[in-house]
Amino acid sequence: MHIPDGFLSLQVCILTYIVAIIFWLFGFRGVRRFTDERHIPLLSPFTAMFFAAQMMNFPIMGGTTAHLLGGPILALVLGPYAWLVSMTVILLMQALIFGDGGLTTLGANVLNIGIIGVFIPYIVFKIVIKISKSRRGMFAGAFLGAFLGDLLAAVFAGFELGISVPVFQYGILVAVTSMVIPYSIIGIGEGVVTSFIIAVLAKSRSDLLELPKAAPSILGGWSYNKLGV
Amino acid sequence: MGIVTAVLLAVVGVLWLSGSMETLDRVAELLGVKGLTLWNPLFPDYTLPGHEGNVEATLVLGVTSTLIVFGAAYLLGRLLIAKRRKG
Repeated sequence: MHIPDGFLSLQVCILTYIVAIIFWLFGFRGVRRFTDERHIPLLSPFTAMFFAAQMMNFPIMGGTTAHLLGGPILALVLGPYAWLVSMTVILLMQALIFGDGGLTTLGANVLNIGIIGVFIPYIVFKIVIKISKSRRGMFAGAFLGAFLGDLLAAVFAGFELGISVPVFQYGILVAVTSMVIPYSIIGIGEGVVTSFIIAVLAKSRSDLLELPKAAPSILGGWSYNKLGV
Repeated sequence: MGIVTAVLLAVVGVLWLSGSMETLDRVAELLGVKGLTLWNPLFPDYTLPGHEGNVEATLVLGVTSTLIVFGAAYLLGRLLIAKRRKG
């Protein structure tokens, strides 16, 4: 999912950087506003966990692999802005130290993994729990949100490649299709992992699900205790 | 607990799940898209230069980098909280 330097046209790099910068401005402000001492013991280990999880490339098909993005779980527990900040730390480290993902494409990678891969799960999750108003619905929302987050992140990555003419000359359809199929498979895994971690937290540390969420005010937070059984 | 899980994931990732090519790289190879080298990373492709294929070196690198990310996220979180207190 990490797009290297040279894969995207200059226009796409600039455009995606602009979007990323706007979200960074709001994201860092949002984290500063909503984060307190209680968040740190979750923010740092989750960031490290999903940095490590992104090293795990699961075999998909035809000798290719894909990795979990990790964003959905942190977005649901701490809010999407929290994961945007975490993912920025991860992507910078991966690009600068390991050459995994480019610097000119950092805006695109932040957009796909740190914004689409995080806000979509959060929005879907909120819609599902609003409809179901139950803890069972919470697990379904976590799964569906994480799955759709991965899928749409792949669609966006494919779209950015597809419109990067003349670097990529096969068009949007080829680029999107080649990204969506493997990432829909990894999306199922992401959904299972996200639901599982939410279930573990709900059973053992439900107080952590009550932490304030670093999210845009238009989306708001959510409360585990206000959900029916 | 979280950091222990992170280190375990890094170990599993480095030892068993880092060999195959990522989907995007495979697609790019098939379609003839070539990347650019604008920056020489310290540890390209998560390996220690001169020690490619050395499992111990890659393992140490994977675990160390996971701990560095943990520290960076911790410091950033603390910094943002401190800024809010000042504000």
